[in-house]
Amino acid sequence: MIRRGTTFSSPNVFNIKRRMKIALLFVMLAPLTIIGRLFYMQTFLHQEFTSKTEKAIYNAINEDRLRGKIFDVNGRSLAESVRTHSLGINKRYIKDKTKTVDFLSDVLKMPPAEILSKWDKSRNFFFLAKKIKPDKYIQLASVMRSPLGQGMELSPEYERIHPYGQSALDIIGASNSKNLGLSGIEQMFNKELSQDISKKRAKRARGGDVIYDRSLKEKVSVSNIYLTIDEIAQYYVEKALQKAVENVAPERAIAVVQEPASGKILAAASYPVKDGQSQAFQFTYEPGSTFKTIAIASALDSGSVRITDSIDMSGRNWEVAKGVIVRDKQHNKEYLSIPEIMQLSSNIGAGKIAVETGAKKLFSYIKAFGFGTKTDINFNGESKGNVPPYNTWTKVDTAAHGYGYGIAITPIQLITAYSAIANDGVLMQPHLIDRIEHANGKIEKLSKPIKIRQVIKKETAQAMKKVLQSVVEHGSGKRAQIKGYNVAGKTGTAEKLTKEGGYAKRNHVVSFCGMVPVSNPQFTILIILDNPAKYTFGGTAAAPVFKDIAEPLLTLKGIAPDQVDFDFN
Amino acid sequence: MTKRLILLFVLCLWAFMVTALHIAISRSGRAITRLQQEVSVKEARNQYLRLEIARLSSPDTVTQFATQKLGMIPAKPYEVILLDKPK
Repeated sequence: MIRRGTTFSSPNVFNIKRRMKIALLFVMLAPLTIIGRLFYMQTFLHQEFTSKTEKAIYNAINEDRLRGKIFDVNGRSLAESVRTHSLGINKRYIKDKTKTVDFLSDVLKMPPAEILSKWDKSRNFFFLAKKIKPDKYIQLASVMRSPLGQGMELSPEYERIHPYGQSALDIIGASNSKNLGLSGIEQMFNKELSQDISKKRAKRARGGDVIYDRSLKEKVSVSNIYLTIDEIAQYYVEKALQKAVENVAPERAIAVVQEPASGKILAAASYPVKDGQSQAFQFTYEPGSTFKTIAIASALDSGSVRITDSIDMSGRNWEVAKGVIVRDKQHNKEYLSIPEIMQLSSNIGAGKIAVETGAKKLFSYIKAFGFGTKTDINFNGESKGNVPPYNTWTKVDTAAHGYGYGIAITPIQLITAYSAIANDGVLMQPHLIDRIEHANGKIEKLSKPIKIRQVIKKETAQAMKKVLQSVVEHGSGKRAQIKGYNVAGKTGTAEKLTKEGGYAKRNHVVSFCGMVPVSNPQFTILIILDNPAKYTFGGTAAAPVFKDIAEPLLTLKGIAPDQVDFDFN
Repeated sequence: MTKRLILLFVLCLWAFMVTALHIAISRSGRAITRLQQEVSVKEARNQYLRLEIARLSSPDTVTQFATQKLGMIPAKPYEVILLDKPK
């Protein structure tokens, strides 16, 4: 009989319950260790493992978005981005150097020696080629998963292309490969043209392929910008300016074309061309005789003088104040009519008229024409010029402002003021942006003609147009004449200030500002040649550029001649 | 017992279908990605061709071709005769 509860031998060896407990402990040791380890991993190594899993399952991909385009008014692309690739080489993973070099040399049309030179210079990774075009990209991408492609890395990048080369580049500006606008329109409208580039998480398959899902679908929100610039007009302006640069070698040259009725800028060119640095808005200068138009228009409009008045030339030596003498060397007349003052560009005449008008009145007209304030065209770096307050003007200052000295203006201010005269005295808001095309297809029209104010009376403006027409027909602006068309304009040859103070006799700013056809002005054109190497004048250097620009523009826009009695032959 | 077996079978079938569906979605996703890459490369090629057209039809190229190759000269504005559009 066996009695329950009794032990057969040593209680330590044969106690089953104890044995079971020990066995259980051994059995549980492994799971407990695993649980402990899992707890440790979950609690303390959480981040490390999450990132490992992320890397194993997901790919972080850059959202591939192209920058918006910039067009001219007729939809010609002036700047757009294209997707290119760069090729990097990771030497460590290249299996057969000779084969790889031969292949790359063949595809990239690059001499093997050049590849080997880059190869030898780098320790491990180097970029072999950038801005790889699609045709070459396809050939490279086709070997990426083969042994030949091991160690090659293709990464996407963007290139900003300007189909018309350097044309209008000073207005368009530049952007970098990261889609950031750096200057000009690219910078001013960076928000509209670009979109934040964020990374998206995409599931990846074996071999690194991305598995598409709906969350990867892009929401494009970039806009396209349409300028008021007409690329063909811009081409003619740039060509004419280039010819002038070749002829007289100025330090700087500027040409602007505006539509007087709307204030639209049709073309604006600068020399030398710098990305986003349009001198049409940023350059400030003393205008010289082109400003006489403003002084005389102000005097006529305020009633200080009448168009039929004649001005005494004081023996062609006018002592404005003690020791300050203004001379006219270009004529020997004792009296000049107002049209003659403009035709002969008389400083005495313009100065006397300015003094007759008075500082306060002249100042208020100058301000009303838009000088001394920014035009709100919103171009980066636009200057407001400098018109000192009238209460600081002496008689000499007032006279000097009458013939365009002692004040600083910008080309856009002057052309807008001339456009106001062309537009029967109405000053229009100049503008450079025609419309914005948003990603949802909505068009935001920005090019609405905005009337700022009636600066001078319609009758004054019409009288001034006739005076300016006489300058081109009989005066200093003869070289701006265009067969079949009535042209009105004024030349300017201003001495430049020296660093020491005073004016340099050999350093000039020569200019011409005019409108055509006078009967119904379609274009106001301003040409400025800053400090030409060749000694020259507004009438000889700038007026012919007006003609070179206006002629093709009249043809382009189909503007009929307004002279009734001209000879076709 | 039979009911349980049926339930188990249905569960297995459902799990199998879900897995199969996921595999199919992944395969399609990969195919879509590949096609998208092809599309973007072709779009880029197309864009380059359009840009080439723009360059070739730019006023500078056309003027050079017309004046140098064809011996043409630009018309003066008064030489252009404008006809009224018929009403």
